Amino acid sequence: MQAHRNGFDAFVGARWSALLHLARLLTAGDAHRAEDLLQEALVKLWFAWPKVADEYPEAYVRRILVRAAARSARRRWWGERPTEVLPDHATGHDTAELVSERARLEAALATLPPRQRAAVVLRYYQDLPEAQVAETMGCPVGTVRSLTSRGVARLRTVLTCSPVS
Amino acid sequence: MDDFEKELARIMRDTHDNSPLTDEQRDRLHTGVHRRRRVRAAWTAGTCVAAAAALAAVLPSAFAASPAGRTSPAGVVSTPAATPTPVATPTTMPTPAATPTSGGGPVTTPTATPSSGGGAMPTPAASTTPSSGPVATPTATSAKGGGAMPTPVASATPGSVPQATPSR
Repeated sequence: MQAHRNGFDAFVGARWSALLHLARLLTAGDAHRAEDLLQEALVKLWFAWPKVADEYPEAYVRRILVRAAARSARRRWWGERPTEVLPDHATGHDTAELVSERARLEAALATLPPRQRAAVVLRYYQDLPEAQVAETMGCPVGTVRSLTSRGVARLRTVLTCSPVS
Repeated sequence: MDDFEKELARIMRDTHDNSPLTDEQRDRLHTGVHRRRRVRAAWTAGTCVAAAAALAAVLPSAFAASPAGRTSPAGVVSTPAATPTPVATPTTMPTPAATPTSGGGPVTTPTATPSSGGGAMPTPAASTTPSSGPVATPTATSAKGGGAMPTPVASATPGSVPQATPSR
């Protein structure tokens, strides 16, 4: 049990940042929703850890994240929780340029339907081959190809109006 | 991958800022794990209770039905045995109708009857139900319409008697 917990904690500590960024891209920049999704996925991972630990736990989390993001996008309302500490505070790491670039990217991603967004993010951010994207999304490769193609075309239109670089 | 796609991939990676797991997030994660564990335990307990309730509801009726269930298997066993026999039995029955004179003696010796019995009767009975001698026996018995024996036999060969009657 202790080894179980240690392994899980080590994985979470090492991959938290990357997984959070993935969740953020999948939710088109919604930081709170991204963290909620990641927490949900990691809680599920905890219970599956004995089975998944020896294989590739990140793929498991990615699959849960993608499906949870698609599912959550169908909900109309996201609950607001009052908090004493304001979560969005500027950090010293963010330069103005980076913030602006990220905002533009997230705004562009927000124009995509959830499945197109997931296909584009998995394909270009995670750099996964189409077959693996299909496996993660639970759909045929042809569908992934179509979703990616449409998503990129849309992003091209949106981001060309506000140049990427 | 064209230039735009390369640029898109680059932006997606560059906008990744390193935000390590904070203690608050770790605590929240462990809280989520504990909460889910409790939910799963409650769910499991609920499932067990529901299963127990279902068993409690089903078992009494199952036990109530069990005596009939136990007789029915025997009946089922005899029925298939009787089912093939009836075809032969009716044919044999008319014949025994001629042999009722052989009377009650064969009733006790029906098993012996096939081997030693009166030519026509036992032979068809043995030929039709070689594996179930007793089944043939009751048919013969019932045909003979003995007073004491028919009661148990009547249930075994109800079909044969009516068939024998019309054949006559």
